[in-house]
Amino acid sequence: MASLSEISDGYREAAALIRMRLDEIRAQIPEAQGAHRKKLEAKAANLSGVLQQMRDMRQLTKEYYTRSRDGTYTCSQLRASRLDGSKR
Amino acid sequence: MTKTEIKARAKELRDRKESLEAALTAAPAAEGRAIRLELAQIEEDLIDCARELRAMTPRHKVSYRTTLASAGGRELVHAQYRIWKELESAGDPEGLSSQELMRLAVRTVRKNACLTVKQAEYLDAAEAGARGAQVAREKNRDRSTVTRTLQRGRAKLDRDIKALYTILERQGELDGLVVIDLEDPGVLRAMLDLLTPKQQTYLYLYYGEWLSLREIGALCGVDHASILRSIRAALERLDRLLLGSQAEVRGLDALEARLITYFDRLEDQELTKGGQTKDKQKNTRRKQPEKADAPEEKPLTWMLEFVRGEEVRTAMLDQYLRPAFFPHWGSGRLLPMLRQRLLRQAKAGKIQQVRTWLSRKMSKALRQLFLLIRRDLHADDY
Repeated sequence: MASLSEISDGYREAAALIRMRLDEIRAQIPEAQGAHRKKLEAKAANLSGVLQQMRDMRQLTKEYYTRSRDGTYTCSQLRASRLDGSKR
Repeated sequence: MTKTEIKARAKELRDRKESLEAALTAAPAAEGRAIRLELAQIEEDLIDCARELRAMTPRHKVSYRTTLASAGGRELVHAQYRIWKELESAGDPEGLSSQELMRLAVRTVRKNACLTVKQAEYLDAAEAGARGAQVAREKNRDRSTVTRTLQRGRAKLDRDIKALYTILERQGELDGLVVIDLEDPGVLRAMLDLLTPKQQTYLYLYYGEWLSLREIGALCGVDHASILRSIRAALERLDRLLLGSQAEVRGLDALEARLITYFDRLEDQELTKGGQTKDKQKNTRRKQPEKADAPEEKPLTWMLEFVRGEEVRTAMLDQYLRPAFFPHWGSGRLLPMLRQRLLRQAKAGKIQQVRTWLSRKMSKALRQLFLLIRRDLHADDY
């Protein structure tokens, strides 16, 4: 089973490949016309979304054990209200 | 990584990116893809460095609800992670856990305890799951008798188990050498609990002062054969209970100092008060209950080493106790002090046969000292 740091490197490689492809598509957009241009723009939008996810996953797996805990995905920011709204 | 390291890495990546971009313009199409892939990787790494630098720069005020990790920052979390990693990689602590030591003590005492026939019989039945009333019906005895016998048997076992556990807990590794440090109050208390008052006195005089059996007999007014029997019984009991073929006894100086301290505190009346009357009354009032069969008769094969300061004396214990060929050791203050005080008492009381009186009172006085030490060591229980 791969460790998180190896998985993080995998995401880095994947992000690099996606970025390279995204750059190629963006380089073709100005020269394209009509439907082909729309198709290329949609592809670029999809790929940039995937690229962002790859970056997020890379960051998460790289710093899983050492990230600062700001309360996200924890119960530390949940508060119970003093008043019970159902009781009048 | 610190801010400085991240900035240095970002600078390296930017330099590398410039050189690759220069190479890309000059490179043919086949090599261009590889260079573009490397450029994409460098861009991703630069984005990652920028993100890390942004994360290090706080953009909001730290509120009271912020967790410790976010307040202390990445360094605190890194330090915590390193400590956890070290603790996990340290492995299990060596030796038996306290629970395993207690189980070992219970097994050893249950196997080797000196119970009477009835106590052993009733305890075996009770451990099989029968209650006191059930055992009484099966054995055709009164329920209160059986309950009392069971209580006494269990109390005997509890006392021995606690004493053995205390001694085993102080051992580093159970590798056949048992170290008995009489300076440790816990170990001293355990040893006093395992021995009778007579055994305590005779063992101290035989190994603590290194008197011969005849000298002890003359001191205490007892036949040397009786003293040998007491010492042998004490050593057999310790041999059965303490695990190991070799024992090292330390702290004899501390024990002597403790005895002298208690001797100084005692008043004349208290000095010859207790010790022997209970044993004698027990013998004359009712007949001794039958002892259960001693577990496998095996000869004593113990080697005892006594350490006093820098001197070490070895006593081999086999079929016979080897005679002690060493001279007396210790400060030699306790017995003369005891003797002088008792002689003063004899003079004040105008005792006629001083020698006989003195020998009786010496052993009583020593037993009284051990009794007081044991009482004080048990004081924490109350």
